[in-house]
Amino acid sequence: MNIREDARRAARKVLEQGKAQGVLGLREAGDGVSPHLFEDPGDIDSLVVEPKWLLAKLATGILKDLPDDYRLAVMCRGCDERAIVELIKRNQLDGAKIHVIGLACSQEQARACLCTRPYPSEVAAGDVVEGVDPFQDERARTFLEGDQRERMIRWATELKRCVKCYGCRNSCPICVCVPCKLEDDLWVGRGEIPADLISFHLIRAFHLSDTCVACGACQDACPENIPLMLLQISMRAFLMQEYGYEAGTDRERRSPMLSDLTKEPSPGYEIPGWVDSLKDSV
Amino acid sequence: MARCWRNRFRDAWCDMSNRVSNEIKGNTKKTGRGPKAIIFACRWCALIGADGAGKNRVQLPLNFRVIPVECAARVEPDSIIRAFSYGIDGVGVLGCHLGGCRYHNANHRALKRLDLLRKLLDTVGIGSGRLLTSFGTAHEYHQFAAILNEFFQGLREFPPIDEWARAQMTDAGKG
Amino acid sequence: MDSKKTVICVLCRCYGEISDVIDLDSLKNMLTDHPLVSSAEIRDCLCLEANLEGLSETIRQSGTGKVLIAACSPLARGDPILRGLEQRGIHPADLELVEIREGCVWIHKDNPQGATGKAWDLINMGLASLIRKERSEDTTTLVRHEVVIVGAGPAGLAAAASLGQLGVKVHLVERGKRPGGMLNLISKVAPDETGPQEKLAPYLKAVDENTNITYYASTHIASVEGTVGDFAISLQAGETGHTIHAGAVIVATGAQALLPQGLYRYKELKGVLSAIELERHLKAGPVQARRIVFIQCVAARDQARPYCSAICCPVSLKNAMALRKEHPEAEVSILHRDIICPGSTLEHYYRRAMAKGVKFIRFEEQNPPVIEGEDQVSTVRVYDTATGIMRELDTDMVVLSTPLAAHKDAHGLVRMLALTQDHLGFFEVQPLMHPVETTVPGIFICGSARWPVLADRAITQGEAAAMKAFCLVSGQEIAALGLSQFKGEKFAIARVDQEACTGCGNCVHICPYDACTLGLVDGASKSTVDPMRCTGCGTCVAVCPNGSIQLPEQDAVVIGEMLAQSFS
Repeated sequence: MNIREDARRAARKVLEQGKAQGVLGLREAGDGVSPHLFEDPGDIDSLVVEPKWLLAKLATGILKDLPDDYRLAVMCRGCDERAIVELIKRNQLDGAKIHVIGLACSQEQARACLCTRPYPSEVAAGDVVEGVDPFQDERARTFLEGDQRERMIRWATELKRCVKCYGCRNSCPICVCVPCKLEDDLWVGRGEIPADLISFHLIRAFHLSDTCVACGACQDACPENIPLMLLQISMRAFLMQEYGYEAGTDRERRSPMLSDLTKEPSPGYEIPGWVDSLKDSV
Repeated sequence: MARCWRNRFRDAWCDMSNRVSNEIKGNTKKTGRGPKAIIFACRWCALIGADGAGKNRVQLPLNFRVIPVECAARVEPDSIIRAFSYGIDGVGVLGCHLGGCRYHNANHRALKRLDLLRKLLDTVGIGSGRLLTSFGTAHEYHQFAAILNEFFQGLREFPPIDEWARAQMTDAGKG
Repeated sequence: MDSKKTVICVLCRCYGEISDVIDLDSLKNMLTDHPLVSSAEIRDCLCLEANLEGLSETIRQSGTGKVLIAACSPLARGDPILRGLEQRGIHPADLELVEIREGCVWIHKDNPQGATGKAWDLINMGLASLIRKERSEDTTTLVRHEVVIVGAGPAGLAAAASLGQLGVKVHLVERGKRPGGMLNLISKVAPDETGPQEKLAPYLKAVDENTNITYYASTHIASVEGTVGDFAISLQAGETGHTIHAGAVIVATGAQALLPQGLYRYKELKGVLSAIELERHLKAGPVQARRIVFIQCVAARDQARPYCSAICCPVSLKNAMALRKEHPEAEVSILHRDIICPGSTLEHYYRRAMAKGVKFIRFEEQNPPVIEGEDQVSTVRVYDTATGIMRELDTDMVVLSTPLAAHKDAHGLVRMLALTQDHLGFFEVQPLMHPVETTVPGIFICGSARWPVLADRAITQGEAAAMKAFCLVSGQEIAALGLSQFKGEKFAIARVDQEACTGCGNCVHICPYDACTLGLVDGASKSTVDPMRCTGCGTCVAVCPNGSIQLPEQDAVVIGEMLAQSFS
């Protein structure tokens, strides 16, 4: 499989050329696969690139324990790189310490994640395939469009299985807050099983609205297979449509939610006089 | 977790809030009261409209409560979501018109953010119509009254929000 | 006594207005059982002085902390009640007013039972706010009785003269060799047609003679540190540099004339010049041309620059009349899209120009005049919207009136002062009746740096900025909470729980006043709030991912609990 060979070649080169002191990637270990920090070019023979395993959060964690001058290379899929860009923007990662080795995802992987951008900005291994439009997927559409009441029941049915394991929050590369609002009784009632449907998931979803990179870590982590990625899709589409903004694609551009209308969407934006949501079509 | 200034409040209110939120949900089922709404009113414009409505004895729907804020931009989306989770059917955020924010276009951020929140509310089926935003159209008392009445009219079309809670409890609608 | 029961509740009957609809007795009884309330009583007409006195006495004697008053709206008598109690020594953070008159009784008159229930909810919400709110900590800073004025054009000179007269120490900094700004480039000042030196003479005299004013020529600003009350500004003049301190800064850096690059065959044909170049010719001596065409709104009032530059019409009128005066046989036409001459002085100026034989032809944006010629300009063709005729004007000089544009980066000042600019580059001022104040406390702005203006208006604005600066620096010290532009104090000053702060920078980017900055605390990025800049709007609170930044007067817990208590 040439993606594996290309990835190994790229990782070895990075170490040999001294671009980074270590490569964070996946290693075949026993019957399975686990993340590993490759520091010796000789070890790279055991580096693998399957399955999808998001390393951005790990990278943030281990950099804290590594020496200050350590440069870490990370085997990144598109979403991983976007997560790293968002973390850099939000001052959780030092951009100078990260070197991205880009991996493109396959068509099957893109379809499985309903990913609109299954490739990083620079690809070292793998063939670039076109993104998938989640609105074309039959099952996804039932959660995004259609009759409102049916949609509500569908979401309620899914979310009622939530046991508040916090897996989604823990695995999300962007979620770094300590303390976290989701653990605060003020925002999310404690001791309720099933969890309060609205507060936990909607607060989490909206916190990520303009910074979610659609990596799917939340959904992959959920033991109840709740389609959490679908919560974000409409908001991401709105940001792209109104502001041309996609989280994680630009290191300099902060969320358009933080500026006034004359900066985003555009300097010449004509500010409407009086607006209310009853008059405008919702 | 050292958040002493926040935990200071835990004592009397903590259990009360949980009990109260269940009561709100319960009450709607029992009494069949009309929709309930929370209105975040900016001190510099919408609150003046609300005040004017009172001064002019305009009769308004009973079930709304006003929370005054210094600027509409203060309103956290999390508070809006929390209100829905407490069983409150509608939330309004009323601020100054977009060229006239006393805090230098802070209300622009509020508008953008709330438009985005509406997308999420729509996705999960709560309905974007439950979130009312009005920037500049609630400064006069008759405007405030008109907006409130129209909002409530819309809310009455929606099922009460604790249908979510009921959908949660029963096995209705196996998606 | 239960330590939680700290609140005294006072319900006002309001002469029957409230008590006729709401069952105050039942409210009082329920309140007495409330876990947070130490006592509840019904009184009448709290707003009367005698009653306020009695109430404050009761509060003082009870020894508990807080008071909740359920009465009329703050906009009616509620605010005077609160002020009256505060004057009698009760801390504002210990007071809460719940409006049950305008907010409940008067809008639900037909439903006494419902209104009573709603009043109970409103009082509970008020209790939630009261037992938790705090007054933001105030910081004070000493104010230097000195002002730095950047730019010695008409605005800057007028400001300096005014301040010097008021006894304030003034540092007038000019990057050019001589003062006067754009007035040095023009022949006469419109509309009064005085010479530039004559116009500026009184101000130059004041600057010269007043020992309070120090004038720095050929000096530019290298850096600005500090905050309102004590700005440390380092000046650079050639090789030498030194630092001055000031309580306030007035920015009067002016603007520049845009050159009509690529328009109307500018630089292609001889005889096509920009308005500022015509000024130079007029200063040098009589002009040769006898058939002159002015074109207004060049690169102005279009998509890219959707503004009127205010000065171009009076200036063209001035020059047109000057040309006609020199050579009465000269044919002078002004091609315009509108002649903007507001006010009676400018209107008379316009009519005078018409009377002096200047011709006016109106064209439309979609159909601009066409310049013809080979090597030298020969003809201008223009569609006259008044007559519907395509005119052909023989010409030997075309003058293009271009707008004033902001200095790009204002010579580095934008970076140094963190002022906000609009998308055209002009500095932004506070909205709503603060025409010379920027979003940064202590920094004022006047003249064309703010918006293109004629010299008269620049002078007026300079004097206005001087007054505003004087108000700021005339005291001994200023307090952060008191820096509110309207009467009264700021609502709050944001406060960061640095332990919880993740350093994401949302607050830094969203603050309309750039009051938050990120700094390293023990190696981690943390946000700090500048209390002078913060206005207490709460925009930052709404975007903080874990609620580390809050307004002490109304934090997230207050709102959350108000929601929980809202419907019982």
